[in-house]
Amino acid sequence: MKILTYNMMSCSKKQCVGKGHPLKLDCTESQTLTQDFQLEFIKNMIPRLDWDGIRAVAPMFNINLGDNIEGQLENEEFLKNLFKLVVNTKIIKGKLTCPSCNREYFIENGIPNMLLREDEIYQDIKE
Amino acid sequence: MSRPEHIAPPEIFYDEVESKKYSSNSRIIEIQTKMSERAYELLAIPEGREGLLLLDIGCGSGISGDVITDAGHHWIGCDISPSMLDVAIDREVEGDVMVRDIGQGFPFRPGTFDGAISISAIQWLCNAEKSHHNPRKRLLVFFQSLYQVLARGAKAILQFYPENSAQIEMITSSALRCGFTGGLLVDFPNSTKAKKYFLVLFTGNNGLYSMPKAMGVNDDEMVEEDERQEQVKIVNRNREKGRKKDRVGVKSREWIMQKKDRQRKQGKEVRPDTKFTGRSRGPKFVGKCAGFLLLRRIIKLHLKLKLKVEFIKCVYYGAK
Repeated sequence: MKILTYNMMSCSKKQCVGKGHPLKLDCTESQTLTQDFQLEFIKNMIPRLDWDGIRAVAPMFNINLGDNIEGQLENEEFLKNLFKLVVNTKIIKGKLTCPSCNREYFIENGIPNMLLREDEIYQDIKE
Repeated sequence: MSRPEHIAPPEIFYDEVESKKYSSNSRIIEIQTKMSERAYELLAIPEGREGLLLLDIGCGSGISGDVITDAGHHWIGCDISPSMLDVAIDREVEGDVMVRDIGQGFPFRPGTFDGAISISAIQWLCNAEKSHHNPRKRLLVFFQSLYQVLARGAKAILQFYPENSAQIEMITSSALRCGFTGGLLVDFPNSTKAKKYFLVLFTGNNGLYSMPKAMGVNDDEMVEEDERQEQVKIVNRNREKGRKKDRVGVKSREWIMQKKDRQRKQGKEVRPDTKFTGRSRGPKFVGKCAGFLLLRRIIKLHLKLKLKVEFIKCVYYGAK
């Protein structure tokens, strides 16, 4: 799972709506990919990224994005680093924890298992 | 047509064996790719626009994702079958995949995706697999969540195989209840085999979008053309009787080439095409050879006869 996906994810349990992100990431195995830098894609993604999540995981993969993130959105060096983090970093094994309900989701072989148990599915949808 | 929904729940039906089919069966791959290309076309992303993030619902082994990757976009896929996702990882697809039951909604923040496609997935939602499943409820959760994770102005193209008209009604009405606009598009409605259902959904209704046109539907222009063809056909039938003429003869060079191509596509080992392919093997033993054979037979017969006479002579004189 790429950091981009991680950044877009949130806990989907009913009680966590609005506060189920950023998930806490424990990464035990990761991999670096070699996709070419795509300026257009990263520019598309910038308004959607959750900067708290980015700030939290950047040091884990030794990528220095600097302190002032909002001021650097035109800086190409910064965008390249950001691309390296969100697209070219893949989590192979690890664990995601919801900050609100502490539900744990496990990542195996690069695939996070986001299946909810029977009792966790939200029930109060109007018929 | 068999319906896998009737056999087992998706996470059980798509086990290792069934998943492997999806990475090796050329026919499945071809059909899936074609439908994905059509779905992508229906998304109507302006040409030259690249680097979008799309959602692939029921991504399976990532065949539909490959189409998105080829178009220069990124994708994230959800599927309930871990075996199918393992195949996707083995195939090294570019997109990201996760195990998720789409009837539980999507675990993403609102407004994440620029569009969504789904190939042959949402009919699974119409079946209750477990005691706590309620198809209508699951469809509502699915569409509500889909509406949330799509950016405003995004489209979702969902191809599915409805079992009957009640299912179509259930799916479309659920989608419309969750705020989507759009409708059902049926490609090739007059053909049982080629008929394909696409649910075309828009988020936000500001009159900017209109339903795309279906393929293989007789609109005015095509009706005219069809009629013309019909006329030509009738004339032909009267003159020639039957259509044997435009058929390729069995074992002719073209027929052999077509067959070899077909087998190559299936991944079989096929001899290369040369100038000798499909060439006749020359005349059989007729003409001078036949003459020679006839001579040999006569000599043989003659010798046999001679031996017999000799033998009879021997016996006769010997007895005397």
